[in-house]
Amino acid sequence: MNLVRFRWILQWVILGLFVIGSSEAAFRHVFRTSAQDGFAKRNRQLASAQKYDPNYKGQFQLDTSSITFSDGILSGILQKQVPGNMEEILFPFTISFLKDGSTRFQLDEKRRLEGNVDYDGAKIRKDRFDVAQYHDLGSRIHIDTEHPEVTTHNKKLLKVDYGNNQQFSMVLHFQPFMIEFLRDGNVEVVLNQRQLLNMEHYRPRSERSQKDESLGMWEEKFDNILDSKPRGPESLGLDISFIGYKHVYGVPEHTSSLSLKETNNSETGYTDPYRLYNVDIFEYEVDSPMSQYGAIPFMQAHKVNSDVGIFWSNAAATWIDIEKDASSTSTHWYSESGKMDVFIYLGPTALDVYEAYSGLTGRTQLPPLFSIGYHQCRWNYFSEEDVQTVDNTFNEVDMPYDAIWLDIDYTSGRRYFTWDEATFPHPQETLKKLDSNGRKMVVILDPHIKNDPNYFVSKDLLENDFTVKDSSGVDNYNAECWPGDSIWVDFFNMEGQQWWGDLYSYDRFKGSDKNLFIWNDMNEPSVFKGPETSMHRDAIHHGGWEHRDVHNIYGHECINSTYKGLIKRDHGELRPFILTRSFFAGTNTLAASWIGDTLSTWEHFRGSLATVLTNGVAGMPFSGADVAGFFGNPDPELFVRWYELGIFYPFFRAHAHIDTKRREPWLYGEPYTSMVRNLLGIRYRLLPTWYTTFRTTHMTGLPILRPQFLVHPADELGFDIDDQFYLGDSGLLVKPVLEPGVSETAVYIADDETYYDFYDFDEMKGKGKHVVPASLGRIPILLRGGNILITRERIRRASELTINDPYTLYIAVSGKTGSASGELYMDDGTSFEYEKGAYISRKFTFNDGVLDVFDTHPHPQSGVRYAESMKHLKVERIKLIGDNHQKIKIHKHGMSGVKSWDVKVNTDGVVQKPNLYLV
Amino acid sequence: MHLKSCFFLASLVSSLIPFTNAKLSIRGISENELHLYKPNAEGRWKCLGSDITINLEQINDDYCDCPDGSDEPGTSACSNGKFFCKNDGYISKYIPSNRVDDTKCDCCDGSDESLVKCENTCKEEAENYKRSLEKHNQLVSDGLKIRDDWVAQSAELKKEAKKKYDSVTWKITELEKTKQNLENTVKALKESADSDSRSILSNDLEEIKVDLYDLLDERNEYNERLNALENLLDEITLQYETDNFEATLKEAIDSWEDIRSQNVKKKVASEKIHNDLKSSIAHLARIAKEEATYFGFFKKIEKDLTDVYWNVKRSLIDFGILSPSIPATSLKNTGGFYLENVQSDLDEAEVELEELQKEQTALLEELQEHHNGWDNLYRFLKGMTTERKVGDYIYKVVFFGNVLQNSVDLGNFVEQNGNTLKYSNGQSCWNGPDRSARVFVECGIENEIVSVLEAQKCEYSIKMKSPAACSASQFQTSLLKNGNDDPDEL
Repeated sequence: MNLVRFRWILQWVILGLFVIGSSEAAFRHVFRTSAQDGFAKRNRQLASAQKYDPNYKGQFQLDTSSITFSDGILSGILQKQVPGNMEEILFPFTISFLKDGSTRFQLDEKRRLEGNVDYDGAKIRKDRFDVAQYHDLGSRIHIDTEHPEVTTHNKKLLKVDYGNNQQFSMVLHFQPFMIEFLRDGNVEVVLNQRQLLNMEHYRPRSERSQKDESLGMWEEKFDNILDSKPRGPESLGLDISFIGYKHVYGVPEHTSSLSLKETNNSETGYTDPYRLYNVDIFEYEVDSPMSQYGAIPFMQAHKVNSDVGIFWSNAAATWIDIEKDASSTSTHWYSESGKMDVFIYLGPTALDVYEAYSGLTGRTQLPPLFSIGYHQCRWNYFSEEDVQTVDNTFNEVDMPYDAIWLDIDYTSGRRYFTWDEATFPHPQETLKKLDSNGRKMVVILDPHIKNDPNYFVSKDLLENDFTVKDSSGVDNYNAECWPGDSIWVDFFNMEGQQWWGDLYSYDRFKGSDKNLFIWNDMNEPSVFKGPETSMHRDAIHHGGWEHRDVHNIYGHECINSTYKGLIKRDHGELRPFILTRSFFAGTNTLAASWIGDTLSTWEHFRGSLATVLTNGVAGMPFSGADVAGFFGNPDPELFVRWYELGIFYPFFRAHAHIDTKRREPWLYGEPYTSMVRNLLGIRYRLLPTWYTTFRTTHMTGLPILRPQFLVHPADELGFDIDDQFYLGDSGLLVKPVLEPGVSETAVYIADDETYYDFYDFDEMKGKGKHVVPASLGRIPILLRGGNILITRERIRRASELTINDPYTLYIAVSGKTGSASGELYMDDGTSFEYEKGAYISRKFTFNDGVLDVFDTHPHPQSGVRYAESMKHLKVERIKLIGDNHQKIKIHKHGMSGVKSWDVKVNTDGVVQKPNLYLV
Repeated sequence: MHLKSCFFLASLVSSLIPFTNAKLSIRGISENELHLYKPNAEGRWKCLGSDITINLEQINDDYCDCPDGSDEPGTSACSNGKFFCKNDGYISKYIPSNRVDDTKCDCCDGSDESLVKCENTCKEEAENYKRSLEKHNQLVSDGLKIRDDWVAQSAELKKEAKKKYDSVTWKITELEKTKQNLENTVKALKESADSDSRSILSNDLEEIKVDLYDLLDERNEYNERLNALENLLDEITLQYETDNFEATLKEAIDSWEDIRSQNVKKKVASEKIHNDLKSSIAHLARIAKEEATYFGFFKKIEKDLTDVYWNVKRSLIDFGILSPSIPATSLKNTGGFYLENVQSDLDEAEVELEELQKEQTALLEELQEHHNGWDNLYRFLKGMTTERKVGDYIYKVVFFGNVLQNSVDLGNFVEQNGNTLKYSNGQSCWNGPDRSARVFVECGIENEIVSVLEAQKCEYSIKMKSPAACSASQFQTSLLKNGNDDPDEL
């Protein structure tokens, strides 16, 4: 759901146009360009000066005498000479070497660090905002005091070798100030190569000049809304160069290409930088660097067999310019406020980068099994009866689904934590009925609270004073949102967070139950008629932070609070499931996300894939788009094609705007209903593979959907491919059809391995493009030789109802070696017992007619009890693909040795009932 | 729920008791179907829906062998299979195979689950079933009573409508006669009006005048011929005096002299008539001319008088002293030749007739209309309004009328299909279609809106209860068997 129907309405009234299908965003003017954002303008001017002014010099001088190195941390002081100021302004910096092999560069202004500034009595903090401290990254930062070692220190530079094998080096150049990061002697990443380092120093308001005004240093007005900017200019910026890297990825959320485009470049069409500023943007432009709902300042650069990464730890409005030359990419990052805090990851593999980065910001939640199934949502299912009818119809038409969703209109007048008495008088009975089919309900609850003294949440919120304040720092921040006049929960108040979390308890949220889960929307936060559809930047949060300092993590803190509340609700025994629209680095540990208010057009459909892939690369992998588009009514072809791709979104939910026609998956009639049923079947058959993939992601930080460049890191032709992908380590290569009117498509194969068609096992071989059948309802899926795909062929009503079912192994042997392997992870799908070892982990390898089954549980003993309870888990069928053995041998490796037996392969290449139990 | 200690395997083994045993049982099969699971002469078994044969051990071995799923009635191995819940004490039923052993209890006897313990709830279900059945039948019975009453009232209304129809029909016949008369009069008046506004008298005079001139013309002709004859005879007479035929001719001449003398007398009279006529025609013509002038004058007076008359009449009608239709005829009788009056009476009669005909058509339609089971209720239900506040709106359903959400028209009645009423062409939605509503009516003891759902934009589903929807076919007989008999299969 989106920023408001009124805008939608307004649009039509003003333009008198029905713009569905158009790529022009009608509300582009609602959002700032970089030229309309004072600090962005100033930092971009710096970049222009550097490029065109031969006398350009960086602003900072290193005081070489200040440099110290001890216990893995290098410290020093940068000096800035300001005309008219007698004294130099001091900026202490540190470079920390961390145990995970990464490096951290921090910079701040001394005066502000010490609080030696005056903001004319404004009720705001004097120091700069530190994401790491607030965001609990601190506890995950471990300084490596063992390996880093100063190996060179002369008049010009200081070199530190670090890393487990001293494979990395950091070279600090003194004049001009510049930091190089080397791996195995090669420069990979450089900070301040272009001398764009910037940190706007404190200056008293009384000294503001005429020139300041033109540069937007103080008060700024946009869209007729004034930003008072009590601290004046305080932006920070830095150029970061990736040497030898032509492709960079990440920095979601945008609907752009996977391999990011150059900005300020007429060829790419991007004249603005990529922007990170969480906004409730709807009907957004496809192929644009404009901001969307989430912000993750993480960038990955890839070249042949080499990956590096950057995490710009800042929660304020941020812009990123990208420039490329023949061999390298240079990026320029600038944020409106906050400390400078940059993490540098040197790989060498993508896995190394992801492990370290997600080790810092947090690993993706292992979600409850049900949430990987299919979700049925609509704005709105209007009553218990409506819910019941939809639920029953799924059974009647023999389609599985896991959760039915309620949008804002289930509440009493959009008062969250209440139910409309007329339409939902018996929520608990409804939940029970859903449970009898193994299904869940997810309801929406937003962080804006109706300003109504008779509403218990509002009353409580005001009494406790947990609200966000306006620029006075005293009065409640008041504005319009779904319920009309609203106030906002201040999640930067830890007591407020707890209060919000406690609202989810069964006794506070009446009518809720164990199979009720949560959707937090509008948490950018969305504010109707607010600047850029969001909160005023000079609104004040608990602790004296301006909203500008924390904007991009407001949504994250909201989810953090909800997550803790749900943990508490179920005494830590059940995994929460939350859907969020807004996110920041680390939100993946708590929730899934979707890409917001798409249109039901082919353009938006296509755009959704690169967006979801990018979210995955940047650490928000449990992501998806509304199937089949939020606004508008898709024709049957788009409807079915969107389900085809939808079954491969990690988060797979159908959703539609209130003005659209009903489109539950059976409503298009035959042949479309059967097509969608088959597609849902594929999602559910593959659940074991999905769950294993989520586990891998949970353990490593690797994306769920793997773009071509990750699976084939040496194949340069694949580095910018973003219309096909692999599902985890399964070997499944998916090439969705993204345009109308086709019955076949070309899939790109990057290697000389044999690939098998998922539907008929037809073989394909040879690097290059292969045409594959793709009639409506048939999404091209290939299984790469060398993989064992694990499925459950029994389609139940819902995911959780499959956990005792037998598996089928599809052994697709390598065309080169004749062997194959695959992995399986499973647990109870609901609890945290897996953290104590209550799971089953198996590896299957096939080689020369022998199937080996290994227990890959790292601590088998801790999993014994769970394993004992799952003794009935078996493999019911083995299908050999590309292999002609008529008999195979099974070796089951266990704690008590190896058990072996032979099984017969029938003429279809199938072993029926191989008598293979997992435990 | 918790996992049984001995689960799947155990249950599978116990589900296939050897066929040598007198009392067989196969999981997921009713006893009536057991005979289908006998081995053939070779000791093998043929799938029920195909020619594939399998070993007996493959029945319920948790692996699907038969394309029709018939080999796995007691497991979830076949996607298209069905599982028989015996449900002793309650009602037997089939469930889809994919509900077997999925940890959710779908049979009240719990027979579908071997992995978790399901409570046997058949007794409770049966009690609930009995209670709800009783309640249901009582409701239908009570509803039917009300419905019968409504039917009777509707019949009464229908009778009245018939009466009204007959009366309207009679009125129409009468009015048509009157209308015919008026039309004739108007026709006649129009014709006379066409002849230059002259009176009937002057018309007659004209005719006389024409006749008289004709007569004069004729007389002139005779005169001429007579003159010619006289001239001839004068000549003969002159010749005779000089000739010899004296006697005969003298006689002829004498008689001719006689005739001539008589003719001369006649001639004198004829001329007198001629002159008289001439003068009288002139007189009449003068009178006619004068009369034409008077006619215009009378006409004016008549018009003035008519206006006064209508004003008075209108006032009298307004005061309720006169009935609107009476005076027109009275005037008509007295002033039959006043065209405008007659024309207005005719117009009035036509309007009245049209209205009556409309009423007649409507009555006829209503008397003949079929409403798929509600036709014997139509008269009574039409216009009956049920309303309820749902959320922020008051919904009003008017049977065979329209549906309202506050004052917004959600649609007008277009058709009925069984107990579903369709209303469409309501108020147009902003950015959407015209509003429409479907009203689903269930048997109840009073009219009641149960729920309103705008399932998609501007399309409303309204559930109602009403005795109108009750029918004897809704009585349900218990599917529960008495005593220890096996329950019926559903």
